[in-house]
Amino acid sequence: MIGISGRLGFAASSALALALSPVIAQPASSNDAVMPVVQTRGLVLMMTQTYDGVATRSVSQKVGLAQSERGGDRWMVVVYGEGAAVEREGRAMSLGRFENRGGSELGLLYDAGDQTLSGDDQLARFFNLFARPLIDRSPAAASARWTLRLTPDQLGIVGTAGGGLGATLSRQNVAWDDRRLLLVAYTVPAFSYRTMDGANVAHWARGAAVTDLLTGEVLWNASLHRAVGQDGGAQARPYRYAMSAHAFDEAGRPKIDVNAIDAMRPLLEAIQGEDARSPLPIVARPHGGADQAPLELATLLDLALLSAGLGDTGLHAVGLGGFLLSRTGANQPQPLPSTISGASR
Amino acid sequence: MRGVLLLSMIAVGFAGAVPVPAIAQDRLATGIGGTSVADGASRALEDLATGEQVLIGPADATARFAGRDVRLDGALAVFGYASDVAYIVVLDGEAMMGGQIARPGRMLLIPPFGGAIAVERFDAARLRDALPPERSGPAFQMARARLDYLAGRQAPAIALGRLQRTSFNVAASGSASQEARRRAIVGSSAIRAIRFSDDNSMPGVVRDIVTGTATALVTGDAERLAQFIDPLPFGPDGTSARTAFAEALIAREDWSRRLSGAVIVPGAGDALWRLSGPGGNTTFRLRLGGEFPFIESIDTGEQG
Repeated sequence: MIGISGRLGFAASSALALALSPVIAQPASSNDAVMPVVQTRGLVLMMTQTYDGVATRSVSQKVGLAQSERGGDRWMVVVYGEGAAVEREGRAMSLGRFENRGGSELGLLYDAGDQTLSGDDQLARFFNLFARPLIDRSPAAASARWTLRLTPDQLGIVGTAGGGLGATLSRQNVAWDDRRLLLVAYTVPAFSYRTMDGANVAHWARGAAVTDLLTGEVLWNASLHRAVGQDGGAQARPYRYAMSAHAFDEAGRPKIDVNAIDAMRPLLEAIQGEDARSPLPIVARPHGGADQAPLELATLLDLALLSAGLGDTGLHAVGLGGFLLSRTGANQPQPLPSTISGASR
Repeated sequence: MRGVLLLSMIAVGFAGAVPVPAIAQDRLATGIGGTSVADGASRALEDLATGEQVLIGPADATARFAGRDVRLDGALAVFGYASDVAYIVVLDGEAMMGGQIARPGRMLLIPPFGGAIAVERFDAARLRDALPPERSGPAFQMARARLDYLAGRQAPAIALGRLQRTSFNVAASGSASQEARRRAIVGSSAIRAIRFSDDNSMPGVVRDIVTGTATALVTGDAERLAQFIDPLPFGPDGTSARTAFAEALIAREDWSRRLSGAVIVPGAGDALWRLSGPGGNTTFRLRLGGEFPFIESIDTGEQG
């Protein structure tokens, strides 16, 4: 990871310090001073819920983001804040809060000249190798609807086979409270692939994001992925990955009310409506045996499709995607120390 | 035989049933209007999708419907499948099936898996109001006239309280959205054919399921295979995902080689069946206890 917090003129000595910092960028020279600098900073509440057929894990965490843009180049710092995790498996539930005492976890620099991302190695590699080609294949128009065809290996998923997908994306301007916003949405119809563990998986998804038209700041973002995986003669395993991100102002209020945007209603119903919340069957099998590939693919798909939809203004979304990527697999926050066991009477 | 006049009528009904049900329409069935021969009627009944309805008659004929023979005697009747039940609504003449007779104003309700056929009244006024107004052919004119007559006969009984309108709808018991979901699961062509087949014994039903699944694997028919795959893990919006899953399942194995020459060997209970042949053993596990024994897993190992 490349730390760039010093370059931006502040030290994130405590989590979320940047959210309160009054200035996040300064011109470095007199030449730079003639170019306008656009700055955004703020807090985002990130919530994820994953289900792998056995356990449901819910994590909410505050994330601070600061972005500075000058002449198309963008700098960004992402600071992980406090959060809470809840895990349910059968009748047992574990829950707990966690704090993050580190500095800035993620630093990113987007060079508008060569259109590359640098900073966090994993995220930069994914963006440059896999998301960038998708952006190049997307229309530049402010309002557009298009289809992207790709396979899981085009997202860098090693070991998957088959399963081309055709994602439908749309981009349109919307308004809320006299503010001009950009709405990007995508639908991934069911497609299939095989994981490294040999499981056949059918996977489908919906997602959307509302960003500030000028700065690309993500004000709201949500997605829902469903998948069913089956390894040979084993029982089919249902998966669900749901995420949402809500930007808050300094007073702790949501920056926008997506329910008040007409174009959002069908998306909200599809992503967070009754069907989206309906319970899925439980597969009785030890948790350790669950193949996590569909959940990891969900994170990558969101990041790739949102990048394709937002184009060069999407660094803010990439930062949030990078946060989610860093929280997958073994890096998930552990719910400690409270544990409630649902003992039967 | 007085000839069969067949006209398209209602698709997707939403009103209905006991003791005075009616059938409404959402859209018109297409492509079967104007046929006036008996084999056309038979074909229309065979091709009738779950949720659609046809108006047939007046007819003197024996037809095959819902896996059983129905004798029509001067009958003008509406035939349809809902996810729960098949039905024949008699506007004129008589329809006889399984020892039950429905005369004008009544309908035959035919449950799946060989269940006992019931005869119930239907709400003639509601059915009349639900007829598509743009249809004005002879059969529809006849149907409207008969429904006017039947509604007139039912009206005094309703006014006196001897008959009471209900919210139950034979064409969609429960909400429209629930009915649509159930149709996608148990109303698809392959599943419905088994639910309304001649052989209603559990081993017979399961054998049909295993055979149908194996045939779909060998022929590479993902749409058909998807119908047999257990819908439970896919949830309410997973219909197309079942097809994608079926495609992956077909691509995973040379099923023609594996299942060629195989014979069915029932396993312990009805849940476990094996196809044994030169290509090896293939074990089909079914989920019992639901409304249909769907295929839960297919194991190409030797166990089972």
